[in-house]
Amino acid sequence: MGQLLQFVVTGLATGATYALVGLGIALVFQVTGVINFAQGHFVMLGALTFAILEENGTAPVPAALMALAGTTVIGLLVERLVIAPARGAHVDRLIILTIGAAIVIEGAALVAFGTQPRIAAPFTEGVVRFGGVRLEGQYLWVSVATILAVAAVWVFLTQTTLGKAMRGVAMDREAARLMGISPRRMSLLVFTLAAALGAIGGVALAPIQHPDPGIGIALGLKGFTAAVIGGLDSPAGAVAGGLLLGVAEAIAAGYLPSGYKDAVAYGVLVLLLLVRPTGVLKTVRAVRV
Amino acid sequence: MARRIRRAAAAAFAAALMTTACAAEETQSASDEIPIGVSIELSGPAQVQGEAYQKALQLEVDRINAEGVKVGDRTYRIKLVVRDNKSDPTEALQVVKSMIDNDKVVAIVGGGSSPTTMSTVDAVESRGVPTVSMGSSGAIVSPPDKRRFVFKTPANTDLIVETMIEEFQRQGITKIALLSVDNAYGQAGLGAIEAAAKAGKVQLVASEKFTDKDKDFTVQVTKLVAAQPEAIVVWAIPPGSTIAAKNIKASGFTGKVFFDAGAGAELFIKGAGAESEGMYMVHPAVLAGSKITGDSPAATVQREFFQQYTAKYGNFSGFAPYAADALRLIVAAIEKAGSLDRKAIRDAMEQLTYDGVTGRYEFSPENHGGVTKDSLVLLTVRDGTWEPAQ
Repeated sequence: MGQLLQFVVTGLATGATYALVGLGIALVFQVTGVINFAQGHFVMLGALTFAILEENGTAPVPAALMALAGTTVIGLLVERLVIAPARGAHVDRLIILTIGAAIVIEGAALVAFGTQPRIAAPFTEGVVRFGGVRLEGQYLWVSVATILAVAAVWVFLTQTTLGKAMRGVAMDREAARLMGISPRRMSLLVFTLAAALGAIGGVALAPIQHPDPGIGIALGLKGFTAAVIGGLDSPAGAVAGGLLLGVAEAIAAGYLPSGYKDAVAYGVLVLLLLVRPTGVLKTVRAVRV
Repeated sequence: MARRIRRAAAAAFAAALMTTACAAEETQSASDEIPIGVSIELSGPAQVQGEAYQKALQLEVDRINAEGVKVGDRTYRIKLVVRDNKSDPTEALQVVKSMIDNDKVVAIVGGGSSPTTMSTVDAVESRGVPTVSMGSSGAIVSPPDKRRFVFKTPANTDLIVETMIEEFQRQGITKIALLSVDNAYGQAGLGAIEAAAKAGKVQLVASEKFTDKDKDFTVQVTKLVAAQPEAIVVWAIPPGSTIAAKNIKASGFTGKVFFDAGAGAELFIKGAGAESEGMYMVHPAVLAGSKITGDSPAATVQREFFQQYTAKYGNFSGFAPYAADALRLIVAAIEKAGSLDRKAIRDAMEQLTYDGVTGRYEFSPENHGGVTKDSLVLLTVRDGTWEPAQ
């Protein structure tokens, strides 16, 4: 029993990692209809710049802010240079373009930062214990970052005019345009926001992930799986999906031979896409977009 | 909607299959050069090793070329053809084939790990190119009749396990658990430990695996600790070894922790920090560096290499000596053969007895594998550095 609890807690902790990535993917999809496969690479950039700045003696807070600013600018550039020029293209092409952008980001990071994994110090030292369960303290920070990110996104989308405009575009592009909302501006805004979310996740994950330029793909895929479980167009669903995925992985690793962990995660993804592509958390909608 | 998501999924798998190109190349031509291929992990999960290999080879090639390599009455320079195998077995095979067919290398240093060597052994055998690997798996050099051209520098896996078991017996440890990486390198460790358990030397109460892309092994460690071992053995390279050390410490495990030589880079101590204090590793003595005592030829060679490497690069890596020795062995074999013929080099290598940085090599037709057992010592982390355990 104590073991099961430990597996669930570990699963929730790693699930928070996937949730952070999935959140950004769902947000972009909701507004633009594009699945952004560069989201994992935004996280990688945030983590890598934070870790490198810290290694070179920058204090954690300025390092985090610089990582956030730098990654956000990259997100903005990706939208302006890759997505915006192809605006008229079919969504499939835009998705492929984000994969292209991801590869360029990874290649550039390899050239700029080298292939070496970087090490960032945990925000606070030590291990958290409760009820016989032990957890590295950094995972609490990841959870805090996830909760803050979800709350911020929720407040933004429901309480601000800009956020409402963004949801308007998500619901009906044409109607939103008639109301004077520019979908192009919203697209730019949401990519920038997604990059910022990615960077926040990256900073929180840096001490756990030992970031190198290669971690983006794996993170992006797990985040994509989380978003799909959540139904893709709901940020809250993506978070729930991430947590679910993390727990499923941990329990699978706990009770099956541990080599099957990834097989379970991606098996869940394939199964969902085949059986229930609108996500587990939602009733099936008859309308096809 | 559903269709769009399915298409996106197809794109996702496409993305997963893609990797970015990162080829490090060194090409220059002159008539009196001996081209030697190097297949190492300059990117990917084993990048920490590859970087140390590259630094060590640079140091060695500069030293060797300052004197030149005498073959017959001519003096040659070594030209290294360095290629990144991306820590990927498939890529490693392509790299090796290309070096043999296009660059006409006379010998190969690499691959730098067991997975990137195992995929290439048949290719170098059929083409007849002497190859010295830095991978530790015993399968790299056995069976001897199918590995006539393949040699390796790290100690055989079973020698490392033997050294561990001697220490278990000394400390009265009978029940152990194993945490190993799920690739050719980890499987070699698992195989050797299981063989020792079957022979009744130790009791293996639990065994778990992780992949080289995993970032947290808490679940595996929880299962191991639940089996109540007196010691946990970890078969992993950084950053996996670092994560294992942290997770084991976080689990509250109070027994002993033993690492294989693969854990031995500076990153392990740096990454795991205070959490690695008191943990053990079986490793060639060279990692203890300046604390090596004695005036034997081996001790002198080790101290010199340690000093040169740290003077040039600031800190030392436990992986560096393997690559340095691989190149030294090839040069020694070329000089002994007095020829640049691949077959002649192989034949000479098989007769070599050599004191390298890692330890002593006693190659024979039956033994192409690694340093002798007395080159291995038990190290422990004391105040953040590796020191001899006794």
